[in-house]
Amino acid sequence: MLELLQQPFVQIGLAITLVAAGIHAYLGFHVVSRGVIFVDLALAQAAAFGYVVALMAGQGEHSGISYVVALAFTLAGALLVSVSRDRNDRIPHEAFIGIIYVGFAAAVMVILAHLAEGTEVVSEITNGSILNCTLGELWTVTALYVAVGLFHYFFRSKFFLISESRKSASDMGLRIVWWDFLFYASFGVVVTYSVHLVGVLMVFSLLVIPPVTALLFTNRKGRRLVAGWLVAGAGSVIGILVSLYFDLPPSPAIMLALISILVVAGIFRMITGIGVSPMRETVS
Amino acid sequence: MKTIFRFALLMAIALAGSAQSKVSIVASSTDLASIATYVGGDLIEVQSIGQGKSNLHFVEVLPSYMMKVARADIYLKVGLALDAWAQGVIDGARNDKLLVVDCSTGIEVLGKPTGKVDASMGDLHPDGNPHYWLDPRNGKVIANNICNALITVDPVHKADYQSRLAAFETLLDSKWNEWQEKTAAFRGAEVITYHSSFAYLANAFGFSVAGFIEPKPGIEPTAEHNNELIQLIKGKHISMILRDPYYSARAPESIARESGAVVYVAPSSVGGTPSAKDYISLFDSLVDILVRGAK
Repeated sequence: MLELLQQPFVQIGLAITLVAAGIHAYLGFHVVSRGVIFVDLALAQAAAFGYVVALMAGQGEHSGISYVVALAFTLAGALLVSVSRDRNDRIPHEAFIGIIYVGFAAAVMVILAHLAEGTEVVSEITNGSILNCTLGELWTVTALYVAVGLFHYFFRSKFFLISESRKSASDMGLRIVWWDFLFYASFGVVVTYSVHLVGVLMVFSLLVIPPVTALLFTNRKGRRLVAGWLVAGAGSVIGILVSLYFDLPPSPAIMLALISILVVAGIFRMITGIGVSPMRETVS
Repeated sequence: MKTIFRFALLMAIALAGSAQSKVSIVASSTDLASIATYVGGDLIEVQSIGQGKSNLHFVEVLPSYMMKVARADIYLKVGLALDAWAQGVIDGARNDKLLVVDCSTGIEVLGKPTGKVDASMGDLHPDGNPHYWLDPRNGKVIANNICNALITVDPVHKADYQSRLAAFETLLDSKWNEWQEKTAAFRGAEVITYHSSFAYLANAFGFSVAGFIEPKPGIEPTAEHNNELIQLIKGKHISMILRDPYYSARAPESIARESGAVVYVAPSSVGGTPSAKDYISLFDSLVDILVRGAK
């Protein structure tokens, strides 16, 4: 195992996973609070549609133009997600997100049916593997995620206010649709890139499991964030070490490690009673 | 009145049938379609469902494929469980007159699993390796299967088909010698491939496949597997990684970066790369790659 840890491809994989864990556990905080769990799938699918459109127009998979087209469709998806929220929450936002997902997925299938390399292109876009990342990609994602992280840091009061209480945000006169668009657009940029590198299931796991684990114990923003990062980091490291030791594919090992942490945390909470009581949770 | 109408309809169908003088063939792959063209010439019309760049293991069945097969005389299957989707197309076409030809008939199949096949092996081929068209000698077997089918469907042109078959076999024989000469320096070499697609090619040109990028198709490789592959390439001084055009470049490039080997995009079917225009130029392209790798 020590020999494997010295391999550059394992080190890059571990570093990419930790960088991804950092931004996703943070974004997951918002996603879980807003109850838009599957928005990452919808935006990743929008990006996949962009790639396929570029491919149909004769652009190679990795050309700059195809990335720009994918980004444009991701932003279009972000716009759809932000305007589709029912003001009175009479219709769950997840319903619209699911419809956006299906819409882009079906559109992809319609185009791919007539492209010979069809199915492989979609798997290329959505099934990353952390062991195949390059050093260049590591620097690119780090720069990109730090940029998105700074953007969120500067506007943190608005993003958190909307995530935690839409009502007070709109009472304060915030233009929610506009801020939602900025949120989903920056989210889409991150997801599009990380899905390509680590795969759609990994993105979903890093996004949702750490914030949910943290929510078992605390409602306070700062603690939730720190707990989420700890869970995401621990799950990534444990998952990779386990995969090296038992010779397993790393991505599923990380997902199972994250879920194990969640289960252990849940049992711990049941036994000790430490954590948020359901009464207080509804009060906040 | 009804009977007259029915009679007229039958006559119309019969006339339409006789007006269509060419034998209509639909093939699962471009390779089979190309060989059919060599044997059938202008006496046939041939279309392929799989494209050169499509992964023949997974083809999404469209209604238009069934329409094509509904009007066809012959369907050419790759067989050996590679194009299992073809059965859906054939069943959906409801064409009673269709002659279905399994082109793998008479092939000496490589890689037949000896033990029991189970799900732990990923989507392994239970009937043996189905990429048999990548040995030019098997091209003759396929051509013979197609020729027999054409004679069954269109016995009038038996002599035409037989003489074209003989010409194709002669062409393959002369090209065989040319290809063997060109690749002589590559004999005994070892390569890494993405999938088991090139086992027959290796057999034909005397090189061997030392390892696969994807150990179990469809399952993410482990770090240990990647490391073993890198050490294997370094230890044996392997210089060539062959990738089918439809597989992702990420994993092969990652292995190549660490090990110093070079990735070549090798067409596994006619149309897989621009230079592989037909069954003969498919091997011209593959031989070119082997020649470049031998340097």
